[in-house]
Amino acid sequence: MWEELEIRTIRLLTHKIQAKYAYDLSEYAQTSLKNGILNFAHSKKLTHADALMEQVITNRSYFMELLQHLVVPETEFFRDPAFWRAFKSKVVPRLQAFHKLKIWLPFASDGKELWTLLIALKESGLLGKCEIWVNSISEHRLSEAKAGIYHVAAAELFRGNYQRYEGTASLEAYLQEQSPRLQFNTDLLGNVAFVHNAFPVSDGLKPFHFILCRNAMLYFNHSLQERVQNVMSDALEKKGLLAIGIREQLIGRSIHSDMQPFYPDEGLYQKTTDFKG
Amino acid sequence: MLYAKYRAIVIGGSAGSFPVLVKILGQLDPGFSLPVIVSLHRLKHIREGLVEALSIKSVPETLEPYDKQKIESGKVYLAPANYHLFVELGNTFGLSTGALVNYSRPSIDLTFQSAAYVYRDKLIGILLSGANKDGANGMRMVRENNGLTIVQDPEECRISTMPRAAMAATEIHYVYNTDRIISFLNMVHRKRKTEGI
Repeated sequence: MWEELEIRTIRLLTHKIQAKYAYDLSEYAQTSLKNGILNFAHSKKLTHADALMEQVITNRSYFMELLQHLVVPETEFFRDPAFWRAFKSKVVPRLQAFHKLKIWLPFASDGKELWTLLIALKESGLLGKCEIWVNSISEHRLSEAKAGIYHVAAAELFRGNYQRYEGTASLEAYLQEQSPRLQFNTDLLGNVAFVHNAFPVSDGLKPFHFILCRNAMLYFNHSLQERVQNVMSDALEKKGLLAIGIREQLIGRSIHSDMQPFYPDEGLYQKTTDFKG
Repeated sequence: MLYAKYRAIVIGGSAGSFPVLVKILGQLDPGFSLPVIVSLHRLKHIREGLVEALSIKSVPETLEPYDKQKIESGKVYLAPANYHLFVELGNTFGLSTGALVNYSRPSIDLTFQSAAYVYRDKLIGILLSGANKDGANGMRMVRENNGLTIVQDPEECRISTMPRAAMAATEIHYVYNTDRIISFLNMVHRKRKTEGI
């Protein structure tokens, strides 16, 4: 089995991808990018770097599948129940103060985080006044998120996390279990727009009141993380909130001038300056 | 042997490894000069407690790294619950929420593979007690990159599946009990000190 890819091979591949497809993967985090490429190569039974390069560059569907491997599925519904409890007890009261709510998920994957958010918003009575924008560079992941269909194996963890979140309903209110599938009730998607490969979103959509971006920046290198964070903090309304993963940190301009910790134990930050358009 | 060349230690463990790890960390020389990177199988919902438990007994500072955090000598880094932990070029950590590997996240294999790639022959890989095969591949990669491999003596392990799997996957340099692991690591530290590293 193929276990190692040299950095120069990865650089050549990302360079060719940029030239051919205008996707910039050059600032993705090294190890995760390498593992994603290797997982893709194994799944396609490509046994050496030349074949990998050739197929990805000549065959668009291969490239799309590679992207799917790079946008890893979210691990579970209600990941970090303590975060979602903080969402309920600390974020929701702040969001209630806004007349209308715009929410942005700039780097969505297979939608477990989105469906979790929709349930949390529904239970807090906020869903009706929300507009939610969901972006992903992977069309495949975006269509998974939109379909709301997951393998039933995800249910056990879902139930456990939902209990820890101290949810008030039974999960059957949101989904149907038809083994081997879980089908979410797509009525919850009423105010959700899915947009493929658009970062940042067009200026007309800003400002946002809440941005949910947990664990997606892990897959970027330091300098891309900093740029993405600047874009996100610029896109927030004054007093708007940003959620990042509990093992991620704000770096650079955003934390030094525009944002301050709101509940940093759970990755929550608040914008303190005016939205500048 | 040029023991002073080593720059980092990775330790993996699962069932039965926690008391062993506590003992190792607690008996390292004060001022221990290498980073110790630990990947332990742990319950994802128990986010706190492990660092605290290690900190009480251990001499070096013990922490769970943030993504992109710098790796510093003399500190103990513990893979955070529900994340894979990687060593990246440029002496930083990377985290990921990628799929489970060997039913585990953190996966010992992934931590060891990334560390082997970065540190090459300057890495010491240690695998302790455990009930699955995670870490065996990682130890093989440490070995193939000319790093040094040590497993806890299966006779001493509470559950020996993990070290035995590593011994089947590659030719392990040393099979040591806990006390010998400790004296070996302190010897490496002292050699580095003598050479002014």
